Amino acid sequence: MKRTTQGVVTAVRQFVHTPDGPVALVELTDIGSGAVEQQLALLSNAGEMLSWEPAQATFSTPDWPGSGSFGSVTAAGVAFASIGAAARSLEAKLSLAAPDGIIELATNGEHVLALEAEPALHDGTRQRLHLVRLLGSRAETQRSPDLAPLRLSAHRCLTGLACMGGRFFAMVADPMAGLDIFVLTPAEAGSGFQQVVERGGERYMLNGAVSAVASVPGGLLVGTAALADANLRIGSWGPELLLLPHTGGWDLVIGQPRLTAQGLQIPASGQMPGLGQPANAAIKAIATGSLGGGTGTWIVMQQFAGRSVASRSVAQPDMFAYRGTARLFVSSDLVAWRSVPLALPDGIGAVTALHVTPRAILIGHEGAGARTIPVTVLPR
Amino acid sequence: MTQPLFIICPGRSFSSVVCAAIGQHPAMFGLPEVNLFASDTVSRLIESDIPIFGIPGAMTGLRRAVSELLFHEQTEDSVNRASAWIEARAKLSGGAMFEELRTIAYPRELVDKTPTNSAREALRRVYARYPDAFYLHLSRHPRATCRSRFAAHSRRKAMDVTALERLWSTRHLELLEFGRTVPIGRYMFLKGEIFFEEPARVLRQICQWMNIADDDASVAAMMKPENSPFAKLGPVNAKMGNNPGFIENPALRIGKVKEENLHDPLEWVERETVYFSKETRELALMLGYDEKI
Repeated sequence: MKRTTQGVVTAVRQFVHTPDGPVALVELTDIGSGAVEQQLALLSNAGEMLSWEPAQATFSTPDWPGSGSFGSVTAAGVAFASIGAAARSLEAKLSLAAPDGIIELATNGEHVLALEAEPALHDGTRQRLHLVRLLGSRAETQRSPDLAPLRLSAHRCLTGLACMGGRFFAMVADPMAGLDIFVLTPAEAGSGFQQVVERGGERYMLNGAVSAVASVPGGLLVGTAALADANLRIGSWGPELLLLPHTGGWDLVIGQPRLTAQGLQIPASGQMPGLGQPANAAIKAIATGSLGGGTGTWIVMQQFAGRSVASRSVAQPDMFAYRGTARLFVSSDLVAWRSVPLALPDGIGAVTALHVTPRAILIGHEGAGARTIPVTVLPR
Repeated sequence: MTQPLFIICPGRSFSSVVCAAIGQHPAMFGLPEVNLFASDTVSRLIESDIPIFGIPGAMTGLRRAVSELLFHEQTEDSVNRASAWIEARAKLSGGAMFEELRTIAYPRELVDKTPTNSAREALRRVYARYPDAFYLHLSRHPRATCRSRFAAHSRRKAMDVTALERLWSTRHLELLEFGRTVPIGRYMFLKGEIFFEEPARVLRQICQWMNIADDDASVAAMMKPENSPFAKLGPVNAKMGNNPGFIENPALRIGKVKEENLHDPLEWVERETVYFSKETRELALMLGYDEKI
């Protein structure tokens, strides 16, 4: 496969569906400078690699279904984003001050919300959001949303963005008080961020961060992580799966029953955090799709493998170190869940992305120095 | 038949007022401190009922509860008859007597907030007897809990400076672990401070959780813990049996509870400067008591 960089492959960051097959966003890192480059790899539905191109390549997108967000930014400020049902070009020039620092994009077809977090990934004081309006093949920065409601700080940082129904969702990790989720409606002039989930859904520190998001027909599925060190693995401390329905608020799919300002929350699945397995420490990836004729939602849960941290007063990379054993689960209705009886290889690294095709499940993960892109295909 | 509700927590965690409030629901009966699971048998409980400064101790709440349930009053005479009723059943286990009280209270269901139920061995007895009961794990900020316990301690000058903190942590750790073992939907955690901020909302959700009526009239009744028959002093032969602070001021004090923090020195330790341990702070975060940064 053609590679146009001196960097080594370090991870697959995202998958997106195209009519030609799934596209993987591959991250390469220059060992000398640490600079990160992203490339796009086109795979077959069986997970075989068909082409591997630098990110400047574009794929024809005449009629992309779905509403998933997907994007990267080159040094020249060129964004690549799946526009979903809007079927727009992948490429749009963004007028961003620091395109190298853009780590995540979300798009609703008319706007792009970009997260800038350079150089400290988990330092909220050094994070910025850019709201960009797409105008055909170009784009203009509309405004930088007021981040005051997000209360970003040394211990509160943005960890992800998502889009549902034209609205953007910003995920804020807080290792002490629990995650917060805010929503921004760009179509409403002058609107700011509104909070939709507070203090880990009132599970506090045990829902320290959003670790996976996916749009499903019923709303936005959100997987959590406790950001737990090894000191206090007590009680039901595993991750939860929340559903943010289109109508607002949030519901519990997997998790701890509790009394909340949103009402009594009893998990629809009847399953405790981590599906009752203490080793399932974070929901790392979520995907929906049809495999072998059956439609379902798949989640990957992964074990914590980081070092203990002395204090939660600063968000530290070790808190996000979920690189242990990964397990895959599936549900057709978000109620009944079963473990997928396909053993994942050990040492898979941190799971970063999940995609379901009619023929295979693709699990993207970290894989420093890999000769090929780090994707595990099931069934093997 | 429904199932009883056990409120489990370290002492000084608002359990008296929460129990009395839930006990005012038309389908519930909130008990005072009956201590029925503190020992194997009722006879051992009777043996442990040693008067302190002339006032009987461990049995007082049970005497008042039996008097109220059997005779619908708490007078010196009815308490004496209740004592005789209890002593006639001295060979029973505490669980068996609790079951008798349930039968008498029927169709109302019992709410038990006895602090000794939260000790590991007692909780084992409770759960063995009532695996399908509802368990409400109640918490209060560690600083407020420890300060309150310290103020109530008769020999506080001689206390180990970390004993109060250790008691708070150990009990909550045990209760969190207990919650993991209970079938889903039978264990619920409640941060006590939120109860005072929004008691009507919390009480309505507790009704929904226990599958009892959550109509406005039921919730309104629950907002009056002072109407509990144990929200006042009993007769001279069974005066207490409940938290003295609650008896002194049993009405709901609705509003935001005073803010506390985890980082200041422990104000009840005078001889040296001591802080909460890392483990206590971490546990406090798990229960929703974060620092304001």
